[in-house]
Amino acid sequence: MIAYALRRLLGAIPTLLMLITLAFFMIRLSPGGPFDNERTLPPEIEANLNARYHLDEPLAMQYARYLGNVLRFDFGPSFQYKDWTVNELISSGFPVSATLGLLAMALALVVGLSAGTYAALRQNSWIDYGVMTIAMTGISIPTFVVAPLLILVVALSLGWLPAGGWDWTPARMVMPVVTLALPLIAYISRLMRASLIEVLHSNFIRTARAKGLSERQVIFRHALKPAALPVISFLGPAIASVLTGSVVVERIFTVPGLGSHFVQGALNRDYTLVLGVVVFYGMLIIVLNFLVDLIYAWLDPRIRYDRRWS
Amino acid sequence: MALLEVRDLMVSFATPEGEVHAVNSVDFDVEPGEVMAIVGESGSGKSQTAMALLGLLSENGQARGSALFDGKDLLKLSQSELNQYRGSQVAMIFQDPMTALNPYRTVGSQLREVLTCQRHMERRQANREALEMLEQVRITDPERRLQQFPHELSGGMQQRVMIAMALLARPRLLIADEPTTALDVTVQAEISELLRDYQRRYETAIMLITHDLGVVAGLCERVLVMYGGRVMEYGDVRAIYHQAEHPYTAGLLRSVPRLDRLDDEELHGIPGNPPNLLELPTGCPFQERCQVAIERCSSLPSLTRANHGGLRRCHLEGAIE
Repeated sequence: MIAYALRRLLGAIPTLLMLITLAFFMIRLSPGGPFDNERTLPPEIEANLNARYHLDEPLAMQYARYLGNVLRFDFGPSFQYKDWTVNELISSGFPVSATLGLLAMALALVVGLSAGTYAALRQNSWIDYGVMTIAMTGISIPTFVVAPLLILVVALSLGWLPAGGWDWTPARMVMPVVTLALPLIAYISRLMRASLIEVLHSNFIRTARAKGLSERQVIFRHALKPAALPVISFLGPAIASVLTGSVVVERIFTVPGLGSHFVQGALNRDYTLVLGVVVFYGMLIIVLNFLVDLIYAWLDPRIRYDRRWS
Repeated sequence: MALLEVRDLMVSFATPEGEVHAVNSVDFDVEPGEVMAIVGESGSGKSQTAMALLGLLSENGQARGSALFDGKDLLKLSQSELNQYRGSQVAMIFQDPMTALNPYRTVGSQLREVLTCQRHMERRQANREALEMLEQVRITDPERRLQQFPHELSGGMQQRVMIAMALLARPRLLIADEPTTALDVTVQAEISELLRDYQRRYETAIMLITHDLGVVAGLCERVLVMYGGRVMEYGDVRAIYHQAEHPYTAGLLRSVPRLDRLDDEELHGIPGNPPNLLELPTGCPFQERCQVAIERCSSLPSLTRANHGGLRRCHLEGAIE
């Protein structure tokens, strides 16, 4: 088990390295720089600034310096938010984003799994078609359409919830969480429906019926766990989708999370902030995917990572 | 009175290509404590006959006729009423133990639930009985097996677990659908022997579904030969083996390798393929592959009394060589 974890983490190093390299050079390719303003700075001041942030060094050297700092988990100072380091910005924004993300995932799992199960058990009924139509719509409509629509209807027309902002109260969490969860709910319910229908046709379900178990016992004791496995393996991509979704959603609902830092950083050419968030997200996705794999192995007894495959 | 009385059983499936008649007016009895066999190739309707009895047909399937078990018509019962019989009175063993056992639950939990879910037995008691049953089906190290998952056992072990599971509630009728087909030959013999021993000790009636006439000879008293969803021949195993009166039965017997006849007798297959149930010929379903078919075979022969004392469905008279 420990050997497996170590191997997985070692395997993540090349991935991260590639991510850092690509992100580092791509942001440098984009036109403009962190200190470009409508008002041009006097050349001496600009030279001083560049020297202060090592922007005067050759790119390769900057890259090496950045890598060295990342190894010490130091993402450097922000170019735009004076007196803030990227580490500080991440630790202030991450709790907000994590709260939104976790709530959205929880909501998506509860609603998606139950809707999918319900639809599968009433296959080809109007309930089934209803759930699947809603799910299809949920997948097709992008978050940047859903979010403004929600604000328009729920906040502006009905006046039930505040349109945006953040103060850690549930009222301000509802809309961003729902917006983030909608596409996941749609995806998970479709996945769950399809896999439960397939599982219900398998031989061991027939065995369970032949034993005289009630339909309820057949489903709860025998069908749900194997049916949920594809959903578990979808959790990895789902986490990534929540993270990237949060970039848009936080911006629209003016939530001070990592996502809004990311967008703002990109607009400002805040090199270190953008890189920091990208690397942090990358590590997060790698670690969470690892956890998902562990959960999968725990649910499926046929998979054991600590045993050598011959 | 017979334990199970099947009369005019019909099983059909609604498919996009049309209605498939898998079983056509099949009659048979199973006496208490008797071992009877239903024999046929794949597609003969033998498995669907068993599935229909336990209400396990797939959703597009429909069973008509009657199947009186202890005087109750199993075909008229709802799924929840059937649960009074399934597992406890009538149990079933399936062909492929690898897929018939739930890969996500331990052997122990799958055994115990036969007793805990339906008969509300206490868990500890159920565990004791499961352990005892594993010993009876001659599984080594039964205590460890209870903790294991099906994939950790060999195919023969898995089938023993299936058998233990079916016998746990001491059913009066055991339906065994090709219990040895997926297993090695040596394991096949052990499983047959196990079934025979158990049947003798507890006088459980067994309905054995198989295509293997060798297994039938070792286990059964009466045999029902099916082809294209219809009964072709029915009667005492020894009498039929001695003088089959239906060309299909005779063909099946010729295709069994025999150790007691080592003279240069060749093994004969039956030419052709099992019939397409969507395009069954009118008349005898076997006519296209039958080597002694005559013109009259295009009308369906009725089941008549055979010289061996059972029943036969053929226009030709007398034993087939």
